[in-house]
Amino acid sequence: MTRLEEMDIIHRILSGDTQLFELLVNENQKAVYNLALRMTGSQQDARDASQEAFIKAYRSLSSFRGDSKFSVWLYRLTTNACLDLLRQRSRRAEVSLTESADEDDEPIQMPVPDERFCPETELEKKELREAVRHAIAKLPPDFRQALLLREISGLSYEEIGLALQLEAGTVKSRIFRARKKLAQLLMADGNFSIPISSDGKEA
Amino acid sequence: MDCDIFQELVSRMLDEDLSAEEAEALREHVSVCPSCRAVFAAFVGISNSLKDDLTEPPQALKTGVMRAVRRPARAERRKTPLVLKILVPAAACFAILAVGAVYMTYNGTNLSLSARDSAGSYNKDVVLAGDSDGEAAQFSLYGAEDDASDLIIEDTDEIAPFAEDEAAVSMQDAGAPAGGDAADAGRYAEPASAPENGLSSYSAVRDSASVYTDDGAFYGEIHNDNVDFFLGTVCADDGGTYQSGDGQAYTVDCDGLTYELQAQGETLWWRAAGEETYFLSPVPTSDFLSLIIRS
Repeated sequence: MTRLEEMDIIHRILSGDTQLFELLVNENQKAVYNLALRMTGSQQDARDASQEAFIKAYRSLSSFRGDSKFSVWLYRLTTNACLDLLRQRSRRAEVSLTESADEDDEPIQMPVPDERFCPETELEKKELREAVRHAIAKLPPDFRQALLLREISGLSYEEIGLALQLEAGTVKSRIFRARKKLAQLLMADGNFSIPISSDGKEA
Repeated sequence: MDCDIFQELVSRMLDEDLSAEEAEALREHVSVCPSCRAVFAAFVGISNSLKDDLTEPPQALKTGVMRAVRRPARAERRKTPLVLKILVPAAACFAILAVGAVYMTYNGTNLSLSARDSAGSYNKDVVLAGDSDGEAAQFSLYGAEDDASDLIIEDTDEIAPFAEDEAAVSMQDAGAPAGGDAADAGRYAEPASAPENGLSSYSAVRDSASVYTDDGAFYGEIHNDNVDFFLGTVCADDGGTYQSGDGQAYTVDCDGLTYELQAQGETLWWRAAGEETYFLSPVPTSDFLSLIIRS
């Protein structure tokens, strides 16, 4: 759907043809749901957050200005709904990641390319997916949000910046730190343990 | 540049954010640095894994959304019912309320009550002014009687029993009728659930009409522009008995006028087609009239 098509549909909905909202749901529901699923880690929560995002979008459709794609606005509503849900749940053990942590500036040490990151068989792919899912749940929600908007929703740094009201540079940095942390978590995970040498040389 | 910078370049490369020079520098470095090569593989593996891990959303997601789209915005209405008790000392007013019909309009601030006597003419215009935000509030009754009476609004679900010479009108806060827009015109009394069944129309004979449900059961009668329904079991002209419907809706043509009717439990609502306000039928066996509008 092009932005023009989107705006046309939105105008028609606002003029009273409310059932057309179903077209916007069809177009975006897979992306919204998967974003919510990875943000919350739960199918039930993902469904609730997704529904809330769509319904909120519908009810405040008149305030959508069209200066970005509808999906960008919708993803923001989605991650907000997810963050609200996460806040209500008890905080699981999360690793700490700060905006400008000095300790995070260290390069991660990976002596050799790890074949587990390049799965060949379906089983290996499945194992990696599950390992990534578990690891991502340990990231702080803000970092999770930035990474998922990039990887799952496919938004650019600028679009993510718009959605989260951050500078593109901050977005870039968050995504990098999130990836680094994920790699470290995956290595620390039993499946991915590999001796790490502190001087960067191959172990 | 040290490996930390290169690792950041790897991340940006995945997002197609590198200039030609940066990309070239990265390519050169990765060819000689196994550590950064490993990081590259890890970042790519993670990215592919995330992109690969997409599931179809459940059907319930869309149905839930579209259900909310179709429904008018009722969720924003207050949850606590508002019970308005009018204690009216005068018997005359009591009679009107008991025998005639009462209708009200509420625009969020002012509650207007009008009563008709059994002759069908508007008799007492009652305007209530005040605010009702769910707290106990006092309303004054203007124009109903020579002396104004106070109305007490209380948050309660129950309808208290009334004394003999009391007329009591208990109201719970209501929202817009189905399909209406609560935002502009104000709010109206309406049954709790929107009618699901089809509407049936029947022609009038002279100035009265018999009303039937969709499946042919006799419901009641409408006379002129007044409603004279018997709720519950009714006797038909031919001597049979019929049960009134619940939640069903009907339209009735009576002497050239069309009315819409909806039944909700013990209460029957009706209005002239095209009008926005509903009337309530009186409860025939009680000494008082109770109007229950659920939010």
